[in-house]
Amino acid sequence: MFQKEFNGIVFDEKVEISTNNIEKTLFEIMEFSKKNNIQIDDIVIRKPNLEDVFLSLTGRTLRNDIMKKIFKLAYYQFKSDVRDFESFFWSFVFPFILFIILVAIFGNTNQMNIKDLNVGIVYEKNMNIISKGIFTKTFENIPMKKTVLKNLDEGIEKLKNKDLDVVLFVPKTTTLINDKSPEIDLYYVQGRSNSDISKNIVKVFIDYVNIEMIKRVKNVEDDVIIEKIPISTLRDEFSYKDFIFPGILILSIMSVAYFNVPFNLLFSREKGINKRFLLTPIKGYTYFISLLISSIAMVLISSIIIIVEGYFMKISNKFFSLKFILFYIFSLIILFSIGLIFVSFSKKLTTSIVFVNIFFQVSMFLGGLYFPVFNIPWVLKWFIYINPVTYLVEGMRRLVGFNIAPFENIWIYIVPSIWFLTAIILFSLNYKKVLGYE
Amino acid sequence: MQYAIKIENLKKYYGETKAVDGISFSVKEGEIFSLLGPNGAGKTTTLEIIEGLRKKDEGEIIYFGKYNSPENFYIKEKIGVQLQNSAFLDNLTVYETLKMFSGLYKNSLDVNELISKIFLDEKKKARVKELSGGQKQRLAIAVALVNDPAIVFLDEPTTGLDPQARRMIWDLILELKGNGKTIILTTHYMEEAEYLSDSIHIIDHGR
Repeated sequence: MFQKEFNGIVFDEKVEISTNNIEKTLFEIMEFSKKNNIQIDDIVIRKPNLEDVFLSLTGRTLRNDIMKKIFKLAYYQFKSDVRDFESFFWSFVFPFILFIILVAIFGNTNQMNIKDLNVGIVYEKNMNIISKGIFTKTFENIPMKKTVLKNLDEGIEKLKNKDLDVVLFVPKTTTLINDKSPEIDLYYVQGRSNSDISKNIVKVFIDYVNIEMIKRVKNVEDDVIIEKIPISTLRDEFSYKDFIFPGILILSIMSVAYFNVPFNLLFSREKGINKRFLLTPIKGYTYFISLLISSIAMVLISSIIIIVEGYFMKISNKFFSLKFILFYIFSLIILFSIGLIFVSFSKKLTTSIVFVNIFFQVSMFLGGLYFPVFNIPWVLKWFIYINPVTYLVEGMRRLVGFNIAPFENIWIYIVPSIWFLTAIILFSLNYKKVLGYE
Repeated sequence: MQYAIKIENLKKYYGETKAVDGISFSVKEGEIFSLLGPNGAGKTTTLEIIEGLRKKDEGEIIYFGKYNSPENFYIKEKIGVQLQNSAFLDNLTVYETLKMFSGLYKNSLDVNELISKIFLDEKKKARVKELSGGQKQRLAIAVALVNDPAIVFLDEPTTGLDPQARRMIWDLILELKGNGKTIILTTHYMEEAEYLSDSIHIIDHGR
């Protein structure tokens, strides 16, 4: 009655009314109670507090304690999940470690900046000043970090310790006056990729020195200029870190969405945990929503760990954009819905653990999380094209400039959305079976 | 005398099987009422229908003389249930489990007092998975009591326990009765029903 008249919130024996005009409302209340013969025990007038403001903005009552119950359950569910070794390891530790391992193995060769390479230069004592001048001038143009060393031994030592990637030794016999072609020694470590690359770069400059010398000796015209050779900075071509980052991010969502959500639901049904909750004054969906909230919290924490890790590994700035965040949320919704497909189908926990594990592994590898997968035979290829993970990880990669998969942008949204709709339909058909008891 | 629960001609079928086949009984307020019968007689099914976990096929249940649906939140606030195989989140502690359940009710007892009442003080911070069978059973009873219910359902509360633990639970049940609660329990031990109950209903083949 009160609710209709005053637009108030009714509690058991209490009514709360918001107003801009206290006197008018008070008067109305008095009249209303007289007319309807209601006895009022007490009236309290107070200014709105922060909660009231929040409530008026969101239009919801926090006291409408369903939300409170949901968050309470989610909090304890989360606590329980985090304490479980397996879910802690696979959600938080595994993606973190895998990121490091993959970058350490595959990241090195492609991810170097030439400016970070070190060349040591040794001029043997008593060298002709004029010759030295020419060498110095030429080597200045080597686009690496240059260190002039006192003697060769020091250089070799530093090369062994990886302080240097290559050592250039210019003997005193190297002179531009002799007809005899001079020899410059280049020390490098075979098989060490940085050293190999440095050797090749420095070689180019030695060739220029040769030209310079020939010029002098043979008296070639002096207008040959040392050109700056364009050495493409390899960074622009392919960065494994940036390639793998979306893969790890998808992995971290997947392991919670494919494992935590379905297994928690199935486990609680099989063990009778949800049965116990059904006896309390909560609606069936309350437990389900709290479980989702707890799992989403886990995914977010896991993702933040990986993002921070990526930040320290200097991944591309393009990952820190609104577009990327929106696509991340899209991926999260899709993958969570797929988790619900598993729940809809499975009858027993043990069989579904096996099934989900296989599906997870196959989706992970054939989704191209860690390496491009489009060059495999058609026997397996069809799975790549129906696998939502393929599209989600490709979508993330396209946002930062990779374009690996041979399909149009639009498919990145279409295929996952089909999965989403299928999941929602399947789950709503099985909703009662999954969450109910009987 | 008011009846806490009155059941008339309750029926539940699973295909051809008659799990519950026309049971009628009434439970007075403040008494200990036992459903006694062999395994598979339909005790648990009957109890779960009353608790609202299963739907009845026929018959009528009246709670507190006026309500007839267990879905009603008012009823859920007023009943406490210990299930036959109670399971809780394994990685929560005893304290956290009770705290979680107490948060779901409007009225709840003080969790620390409740833990003392069931003699689990030492295990307050132990995780559920570390508890013994008897301790788990006591926790389940504590969860049933967390909302200070008017009616307490105990489904085979002493099955599988050693004599000492059984004694402890009997004392607890009698204490609850002393506090004015109505208790409905199932058992297949004749002497348990005899020792505890004010009324006994013998149930076999769903009748």
